[in-house]
Amino acid sequence: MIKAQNLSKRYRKKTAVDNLSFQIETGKVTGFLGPNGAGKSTTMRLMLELDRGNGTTTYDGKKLHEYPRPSKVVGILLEAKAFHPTRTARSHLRVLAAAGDIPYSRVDEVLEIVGLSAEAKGKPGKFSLGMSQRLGIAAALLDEPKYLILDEPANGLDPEGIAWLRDFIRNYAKAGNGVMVSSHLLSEMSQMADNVVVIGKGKLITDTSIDKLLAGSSSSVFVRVNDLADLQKVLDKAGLKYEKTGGGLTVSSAKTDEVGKLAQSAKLTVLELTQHTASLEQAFLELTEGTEEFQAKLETKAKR
Amino acid sequence: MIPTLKSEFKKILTIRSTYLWLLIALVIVGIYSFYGEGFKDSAGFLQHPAKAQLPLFIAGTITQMATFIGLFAGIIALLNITHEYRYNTITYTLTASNRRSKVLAAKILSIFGFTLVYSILTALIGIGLIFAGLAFSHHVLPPQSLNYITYVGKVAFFAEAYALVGLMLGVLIRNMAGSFAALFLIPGPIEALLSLLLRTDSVYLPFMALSQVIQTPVISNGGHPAHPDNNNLGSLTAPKGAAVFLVYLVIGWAVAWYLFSRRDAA
Repeated sequence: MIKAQNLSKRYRKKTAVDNLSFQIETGKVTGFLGPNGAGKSTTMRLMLELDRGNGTTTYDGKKLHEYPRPSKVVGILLEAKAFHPTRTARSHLRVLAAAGDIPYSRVDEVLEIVGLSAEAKGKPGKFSLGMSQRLGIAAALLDEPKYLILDEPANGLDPEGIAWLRDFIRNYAKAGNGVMVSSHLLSEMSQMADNVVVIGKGKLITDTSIDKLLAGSSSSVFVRVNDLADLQKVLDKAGLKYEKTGGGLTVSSAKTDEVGKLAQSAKLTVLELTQHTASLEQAFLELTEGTEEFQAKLETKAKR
Repeated sequence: MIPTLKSEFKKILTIRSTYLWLLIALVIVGIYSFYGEGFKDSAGFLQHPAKAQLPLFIAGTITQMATFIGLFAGIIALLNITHEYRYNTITYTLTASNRRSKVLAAKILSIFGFTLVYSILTALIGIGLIFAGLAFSHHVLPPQSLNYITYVGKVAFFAEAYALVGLMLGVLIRNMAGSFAALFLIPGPIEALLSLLLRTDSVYLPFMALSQVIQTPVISNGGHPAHPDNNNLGSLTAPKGAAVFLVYLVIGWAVAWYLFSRRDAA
């Protein structure tokens, strides 16, 4: 298990990471979510001892530098384009393999795994973003590490690549490894991750399972009846919030049972009754509301 | 340590720029030694055999070559580290090793080893090309007063000095353009300006001191070198010049080492 405890990092007056603690379990994929500028990349760098800050991160009870061969403990992908543009893909991986005392035969194996065998002699400076991501994933896998820390690995991948990455990551975790993935592709994350750690402005917002996160988020009920005005009166009495949508009402934070019973009590004929479960995106937006570092100012523009 | 060292050697030898700079160094040294000195005798020494410096013709040419060889060693070393920051491969380098000191030691050793081979080979090629140039132009070289091993050693020392300075500047500054500027400005304009203030004490400036190592001796006493360590600037012998330079280098590296260990990776 990776245990991050009280991670903190300040850049002069700005606190990038603020007393952050969470865990990455083996056998599971943990999504790492947060708005732009929330401190996700800084947190990852602190976990890898690349940035100097406060707090500790242990990998199965030991700090990363206490292992004689850190590449066997954790494989990283922090930036897709982290390679020298004129060093061939194979040479790039061989440089990394040499540093980890990994046999060169493994280089061709990982190139095969990520589907870059044909580009082994290619210079990555000419690679597309998707190909660069694949090369980065190959680098992370070189020493078959127990943990993977991947920062936005799906960026630039085509749909086939994303599907491959999803399956690969899930299988890697199922084999008893731990995977931490940050991504802004929330639909992908909801299919990939078992747990999520959500941060905003460097602080922990939640560390929970995807299922619990979605269950705890506001769900709504769409209801269509023969007399909307009567239904509105009943909902008002019950203190439920709603809005008119598509010939019916969308009732916030409610369950179908509750709305159905209210409609029956008013002797209304229910024509349609549907539960809308919150998506990860909705849950994420609710959780991180007000913690965004950068927000588009559409209203200001519209007023001009 | 051995895997880190192996990886560092591989880094130097698997990028195009290393070979490009090596080629440029060889071309410049080749043109200078074969055409400029051997074939054309641009300084005109060989056309005026009475000139006192004639027995040091080869020695003078070798020490001039050292400035080119050293500069390119500095550039290759500088690129070795600044490329890591520019392309962010430093994240892989640092996470593959459990100690930053190990990484830095491997970088120093690999650059030192590479520069040693490069400088000796280039110096030998340069010497060979001087003789080739002389042979092509049918110049007759009078007996020379020099020990080839000592002079090739001086070239290697000078090149190592520049390489370690280049690497150190890269570690300190990280930015490629800034490191290049420092490598070119400190030995040139900056020391020249400081020497206006320091006058005779300017020989204690790092690159002025280093230049004493490759100064050719002054000829006196009827055409023989007055003393092997006497030089044209006068006040420092080659060993003293080397010692002064090494003091600066050690201090610079102590700061670089501390910062490399303590700073964020990028």
